[in-house]
Amino acid sequence: FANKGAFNSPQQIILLRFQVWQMDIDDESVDRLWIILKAAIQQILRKDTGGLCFSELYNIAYMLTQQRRAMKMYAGLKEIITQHLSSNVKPEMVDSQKNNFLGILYKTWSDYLVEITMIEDIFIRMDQIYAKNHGMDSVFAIGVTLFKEQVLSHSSIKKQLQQLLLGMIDQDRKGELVDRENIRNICKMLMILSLDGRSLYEEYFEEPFLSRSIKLFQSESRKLLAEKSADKYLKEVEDRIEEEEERALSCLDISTGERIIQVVEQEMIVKHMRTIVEMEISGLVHMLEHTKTQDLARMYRLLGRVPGGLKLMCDCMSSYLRQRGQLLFSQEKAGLNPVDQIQNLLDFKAQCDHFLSESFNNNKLCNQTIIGEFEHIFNLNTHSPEYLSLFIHDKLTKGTKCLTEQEVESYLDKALMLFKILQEKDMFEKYYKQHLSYRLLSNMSVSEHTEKSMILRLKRECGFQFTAKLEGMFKDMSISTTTMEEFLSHIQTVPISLSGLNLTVKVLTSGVWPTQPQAPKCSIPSIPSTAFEVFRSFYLAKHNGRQLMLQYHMGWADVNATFYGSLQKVNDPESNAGGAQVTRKHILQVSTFQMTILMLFNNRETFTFKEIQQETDIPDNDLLRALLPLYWGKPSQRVLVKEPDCKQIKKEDIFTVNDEFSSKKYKVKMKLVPGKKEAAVPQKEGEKTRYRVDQERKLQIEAAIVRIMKSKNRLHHRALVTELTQQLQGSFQPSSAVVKTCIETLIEKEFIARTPEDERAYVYIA
Amino acid sequence: MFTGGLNESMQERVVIRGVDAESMSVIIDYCYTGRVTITEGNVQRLYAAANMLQLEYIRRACSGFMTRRL
Repeated sequence: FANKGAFNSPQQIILLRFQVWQMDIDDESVDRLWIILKAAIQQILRKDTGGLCFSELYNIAYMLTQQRRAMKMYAGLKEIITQHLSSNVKPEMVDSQKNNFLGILYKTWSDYLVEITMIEDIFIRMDQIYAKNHGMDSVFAIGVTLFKEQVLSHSSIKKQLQQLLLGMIDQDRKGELVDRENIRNICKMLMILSLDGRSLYEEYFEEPFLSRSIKLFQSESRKLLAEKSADKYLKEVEDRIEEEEERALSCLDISTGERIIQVVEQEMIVKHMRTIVEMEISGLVHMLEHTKTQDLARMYRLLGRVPGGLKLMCDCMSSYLRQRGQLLFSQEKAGLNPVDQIQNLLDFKAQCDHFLSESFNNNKLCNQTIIGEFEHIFNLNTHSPEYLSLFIHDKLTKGTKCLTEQEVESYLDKALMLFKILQEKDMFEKYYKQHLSYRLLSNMSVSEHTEKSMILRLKRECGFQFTAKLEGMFKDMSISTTTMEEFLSHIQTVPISLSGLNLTVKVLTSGVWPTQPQAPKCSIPSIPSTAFEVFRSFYLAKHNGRQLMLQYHMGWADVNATFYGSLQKVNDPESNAGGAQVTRKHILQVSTFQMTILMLFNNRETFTFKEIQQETDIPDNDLLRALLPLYWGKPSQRVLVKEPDCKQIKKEDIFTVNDEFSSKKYKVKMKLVPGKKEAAVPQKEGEKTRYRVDQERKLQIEAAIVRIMKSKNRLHHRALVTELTQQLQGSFQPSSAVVKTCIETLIEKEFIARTPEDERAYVYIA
Repeated sequence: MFTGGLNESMQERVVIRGVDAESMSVIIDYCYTGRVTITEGNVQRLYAAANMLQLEYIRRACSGFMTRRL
């Protein structure tokens, strides 16, 4: 102690203080000590700290606290600070309103903060003992609160502060140069003045700032919307968000960032998003149509920020996809090549997937929307199962297309994508079987490897049951190859002649192939039929108890034909091929029916249609279909000539061999069904397939109902339908009408019965 | 105290009033080792010294010590 007062040395004070807690000092000494302290505080506030010794002041304050004079000190301290603020600081601030107000305010504040901290250090004991125990503000809090009350809440200071601050932000928004440091300092000050909360910051700055921003963004939106350009609008909004974020980060309190962005989102996105998305010429549909990947990405980013934004986008995209998809892939477009239709659909999907990955960040909702719409479009068209199978058929058929294996595989992957969303999978299987059997039997398949990889894909998707029959077909093929090898070595050992015929037989297991139980009749010429009988006895000797039935409509033959210039005569199989007047030799690739027809002309030059009919015994429909490509086509490519020369056939029409037949190729393939896509299933065939599938579905539904009822014993109609749908989903969607008829059938057959108490519930009858 | 802006932060030699030599020794040891030895004999003075020097850890340790011994 500089002025020792009642005590002789500091050492003594300490001893007294600790060992004799309750010892009082007289009031006079207290007053003297307080005067010293008071003077020191005033000095500190005047920034005149010279000669003040911290430990001395601390000890005085400590002692006065111990002497239960804290209340007096507390009140006195408050009074001194108040006095200082109201008579020194406030007038100074009011005076400096003209000139660099914010700068001076901050300087004043930060000086004041230092002073308060010094005072706080001196009064630590008072804070600890008195303020804390009496629930009163700490010295620091008093300092802050008084500054607020005495200086900032002065109306002109408050007004000036707000105006200047908001004005600076306005300037900053306009891109003018402002002292951002200043803004940041003031914001920091307001946050400290809010003590633990942010009330003062909100009152003095944030609230007016936000409400001013709302107005600004509203007028900005209006202006931008008037330009009717969604892409420009979105660009501006994105820039705006970025700018506001940056500003908040670098000069406001960090917590304002989130709030100001919310305001932008609310005012510029939420309020106008429908207008933007649906904007004509520049909205979402326009962007999709014109592949505006960047703009779409921006729309996704911005709308994804607000609730309901993505949903709105997806809804809009939904209706666009549906419209566009139906244009591309609708039933009415039946005239168009099915393969091209599927390709168009796949191209469209690829485009959507491009958007999904490039613009929509592979968002789940967007993906679901796209897939959902494709599912709708694809299943709306009842031709889908057939078309899809045809598409795969097209890629797996050997032909003029020179696709690499990778290309084929990628086509198959895409086809599988459509298969996944196909509802009538069983229908697809029927078509696929037909097309596969064509490929296998006419040796038109690209490669067994590729075929099997497609089957594997289907298997993975639908399980082994789905592909069991398809795999059976492959098995038959390989067994047939072995059988034929055995047969060939067999006929070497026995003295039987096949008359030079090269016989190839494929034994197809019935039920696995799309064969017809009653194959169309045909009386084939004796040479091939004898050859077949040789095979039959060989095969039946090996496999006792089996039956072989010829499927004429599925067979084919290579026939040697010799055309004698403009002269005459055709010689068919090998036997007569070596005539002296040979002019042109060809191998004709024809169906079994066509072979039967052509070989007639080995015996006679002309036949009427009626005669052909009688000789071959082929049913009319098949006969007409077989004949047409032989006599109708480019004149030089006709094998037969009909008299009269027209497409229509009458019974008396006369057919002769066309010796003027010419072709650049040695091997000439006769098209089976001209006019249609090669191997396309004719319309009637398609109808038949549908009928067959419907019958099979009924059986499947009935079987499933019996299974379910057997395990559940008693079930309500609705529960039954749910269960049923679940079980059958893998291959098709049972329609409720069909389900009802199936239930009726089962009730009639007494498998199940309605319960007496509830018409809509059923019980299983054991 | 040494950074607050009053005399002590400007002086080359600082007279620290109100701290006895033993407490100061304990405090300096603490500064170097992070350990502090509190006894019934030094706890009160140590508490006062730590409070002034704003050594929060020692202050808490002392008040804990005294609470346990009340």
